Amino acid sequence: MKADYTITINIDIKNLKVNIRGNEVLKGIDFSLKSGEAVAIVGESGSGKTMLTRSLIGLLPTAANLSGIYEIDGTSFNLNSKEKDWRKIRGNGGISMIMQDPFTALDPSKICGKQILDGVPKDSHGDFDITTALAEVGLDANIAGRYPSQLSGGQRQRVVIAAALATKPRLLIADEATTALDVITQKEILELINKIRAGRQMPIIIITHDIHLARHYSEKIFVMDKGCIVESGNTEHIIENPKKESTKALLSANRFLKNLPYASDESKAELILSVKSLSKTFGKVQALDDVSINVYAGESVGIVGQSGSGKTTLARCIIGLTGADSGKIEYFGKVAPQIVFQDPYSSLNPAHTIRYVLEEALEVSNRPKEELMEILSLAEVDEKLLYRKPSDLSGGQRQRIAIARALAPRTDLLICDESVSALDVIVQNQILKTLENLRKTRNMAILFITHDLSVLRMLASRVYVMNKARVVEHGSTQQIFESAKDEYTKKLIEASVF
Amino acid sequence: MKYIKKIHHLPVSIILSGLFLIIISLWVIIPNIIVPNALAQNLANSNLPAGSPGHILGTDVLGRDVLSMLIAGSRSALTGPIAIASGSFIIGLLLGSIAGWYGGFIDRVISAYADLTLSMPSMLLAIVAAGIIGGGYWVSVAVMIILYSPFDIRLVRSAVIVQKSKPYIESALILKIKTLRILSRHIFPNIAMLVMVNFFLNIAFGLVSMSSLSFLGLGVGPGEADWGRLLADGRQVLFTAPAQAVGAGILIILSAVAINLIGNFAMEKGDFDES
Amino acid sequence: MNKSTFIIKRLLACFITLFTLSFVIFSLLFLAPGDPARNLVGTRRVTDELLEQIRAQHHLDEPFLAQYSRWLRGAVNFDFGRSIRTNMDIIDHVAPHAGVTFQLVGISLVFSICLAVPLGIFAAKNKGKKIDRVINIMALVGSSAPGFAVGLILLYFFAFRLRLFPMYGASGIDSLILPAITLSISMGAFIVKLTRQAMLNEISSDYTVFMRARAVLPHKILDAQLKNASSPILTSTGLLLAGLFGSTVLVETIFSIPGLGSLLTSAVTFRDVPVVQFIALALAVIICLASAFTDIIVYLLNPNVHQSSKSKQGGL
Repeated sequence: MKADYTITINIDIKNLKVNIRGNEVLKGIDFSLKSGEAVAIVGESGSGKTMLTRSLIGLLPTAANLSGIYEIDGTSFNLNSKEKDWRKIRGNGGISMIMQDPFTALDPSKICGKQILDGVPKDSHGDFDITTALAEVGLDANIAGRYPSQLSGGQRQRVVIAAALATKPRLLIADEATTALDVITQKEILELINKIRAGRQMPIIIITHDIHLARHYSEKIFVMDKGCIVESGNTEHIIENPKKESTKALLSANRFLKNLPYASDESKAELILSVKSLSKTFGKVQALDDVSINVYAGESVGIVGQSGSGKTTLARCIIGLTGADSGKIEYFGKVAPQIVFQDPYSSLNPAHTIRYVLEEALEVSNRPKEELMEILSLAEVDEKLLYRKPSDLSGGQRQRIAIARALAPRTDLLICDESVSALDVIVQNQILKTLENLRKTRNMAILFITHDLSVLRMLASRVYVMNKARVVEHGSTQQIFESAKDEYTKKLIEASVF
Repeated sequence: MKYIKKIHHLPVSIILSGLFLIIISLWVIIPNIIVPNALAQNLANSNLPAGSPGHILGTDVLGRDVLSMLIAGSRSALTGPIAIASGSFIIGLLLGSIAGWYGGFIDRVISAYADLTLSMPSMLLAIVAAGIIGGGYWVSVAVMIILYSPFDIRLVRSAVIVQKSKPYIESALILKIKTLRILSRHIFPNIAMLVMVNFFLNIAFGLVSMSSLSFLGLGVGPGEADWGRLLADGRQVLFTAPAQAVGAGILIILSAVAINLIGNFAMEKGDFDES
Repeated sequence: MNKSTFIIKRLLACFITLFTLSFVIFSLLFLAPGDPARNLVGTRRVTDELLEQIRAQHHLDEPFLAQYSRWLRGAVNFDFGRSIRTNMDIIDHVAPHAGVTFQLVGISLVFSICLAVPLGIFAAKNKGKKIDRVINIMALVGSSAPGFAVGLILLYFFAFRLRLFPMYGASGIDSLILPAITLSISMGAFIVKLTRQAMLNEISSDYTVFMRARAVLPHKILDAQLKNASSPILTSTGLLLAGLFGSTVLVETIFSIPGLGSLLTSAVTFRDVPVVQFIALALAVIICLASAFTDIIVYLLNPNVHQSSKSKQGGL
């Protein structure tokens, strides 16, 4: 398992078209990769980047119809081959892939060691050593005897990487391999992949929506949009001189953390929400442990933490959806706080039109239906959407409707629980801008709950950092970013800044 | 015109099932117009073989036309099942919504009742209960409602629980919309399709159960026109005059299959959010 | 949850069900119209004193709960009383009928599992193709058609018209073939549907894609899929057993097989209440235990998978 074999592979694909049930998802793609290259494919969700890489190893859904010319090391390969023939270019001496979600990528009923061994080519069974394989991905030998359910997300993804490498591939594809992990683990896994690539001199393809990450870990970049490659070339060169609109949009949308200005401090003396020593447990799990926060009228405060840190439970306690075990929540506003949830696809009732949703919200807030236009324009929602149902709207449009609904009661405090994290970066920025305008014009406090530090850096003047059910540090955003005291906060900031 | 075009895209099996059920529904609704004197006895014409003029499927011992009896028997064969499906639907919707929405103690009580009933062999219990109480058709229907409603309670309960945790329902709670309004205006529209399809499928279950009971003599009285009963009565003369028993058997099978085909098709197309 | 707690919990749930069921079945005696003492003597003419005597003899003058506890105590000691019709001890009366029913159910179970599981896997592997749709429709027809109607039609065509099988009675194993086929059709159809769905879930799973991406040998992929699909298939098959016993009652009547089902229906018609109680309870015990054992087997096969998710039947 040493990196002493010279890894050479040349992949060339021309005019690749993929059609799924009459839908052309790839519209004539030219893609190539040479020995030793680290290639990134970037694009928004639905741009076709996963389709492209899955076409390379024949793992598209059976309904897919492919055409184009595919050459590996100069030999052409039929894109509509049977499973039996595809097996020849997968794994052993071919292409291997790391999956996006480590929680589902492994067989739940088999110990990890056996799963890694499953992919080892027959002829090299003799000299394969599971301990070395696990060590390469930074895991102890005893992991081999564990079931996936006994491991953390990061450990599972390391097992997945070890399993992919055990096949002795000449090319490794990492398809959004860190998106499902928290920020700190994300960084560790990316560094691991980078180290393995350097050690083995092996070409990789990184698929990501994050042009940042691509800049850091690739030499060559392909930018995709709506099933086409719009721009490709040297990563630095493309990022410094973007020519196409979609590349520019991706670049401007990605909040390059180092260069962001801090939000200005506009806090006022008037206290609107006071949470004191709040604690909550779910069974054996402590979700909140002695948490205290303050929110002042008209200010913008952030709570940052990884999933499982307790930040969402805190939001649910404040809004009254969950009762706390002990502690006190005092709210001084005139109208109860409102919330905008994370998932745009379930934040609106699919059974009703937008008009029904908003008029009902006005009605229960004792406001006349005529004020519909007012909340529409505040949330910057197009009037034409009124007679549509949520299923006809995009994620961004739905979140805007959810904001409009939350505005109906003229609340003094709006809680945004990861409200933009499910959206594409470009849309994220537009909605964040709307929220910032609202806060200023309506003198409404906003509590941002997020895992994304850049959101807070742009919008929040103060930040609370949560870890393992506790608030570990709080202060002005600038103070947290520039002189964090807590170890966890430091690690979080370091992992977020490329 | 739009709908005619849509029909073209349906699978043949669904179209045929639909047509069959339309015919059966007509039999159920207006048997008196289609076969006015189905049970009229004519001892002079008793035991005619199938294919006799005027009696395509022959006649029975009492000289009654077998085809007419099969047509007239659809009403008794299907009203019970429809009553079972309706009763079970109402109980399911009520108890299921209460259990799913309020949770806690009341949920545990209702769920314990449903789990317990479901873990019992329902057909056996139905036979024993209907047999021992011995009240005939409508008692059997009542027994079946009690034995079937737990399925519906569970179905509605889990659908309501799925809905309850959806952000749009939580948003409605935060806006302080009243519970009854949330249940009727926000949750029901989203589970309506599921409970309707389930109602429809329950008719098929009811048909199989009720005709089983009638077959054992625990549904309608002897001599009455009901598919299960006709099958049981015809079984005595299966090898001499098979038309009655085989005809009733085929009608039961086809109805159950047609309802299931359409119901399952709707289930698949609906892609319901079940937990 | 460790193994022994799971097993204890599951068996406890089973006993609670049985206890409730025994109560329900016993209460039915009280719901039965008419005077139970008169039911006991049947059509004979009796004096009022004799009726009183019978009441006292059968403890019918005691309150309901006292009678129930007496009956339950008897049941625990395998004393279920006597048949009203034959005045035989219940167990002696019922035992001769049990063998043929168990043979029938056993043959049907083996039949349907051996045929349906491979068919379901085959359909899943060929999802969307013509053969899958044919299997699908067949499974749907088979699972929705009631056993007694299918049995009657099979009886008419295969036994009477084609003379392939004996028409009636339990004269040896060949007379059980047609009834077993009848029962296997609906049981098998359900298992085909279950297997197909369980396998489809595994085939479209991420771990399958990841195994394929690593060119893992096809038979190893199939092994993994089968192992993971086996839990839902086994669990549901355990639940189907109740339905199998239910349709056995009807199918035995159609084919005139002197099994438990025929005995139950005739006992119901003759109001032989103790016999009805016993058969219903005995079948319920078998069904509950069978479903508890399948759950336990499923758990023992894959204990690590179930650690996070509560088993469907586990808690009460």
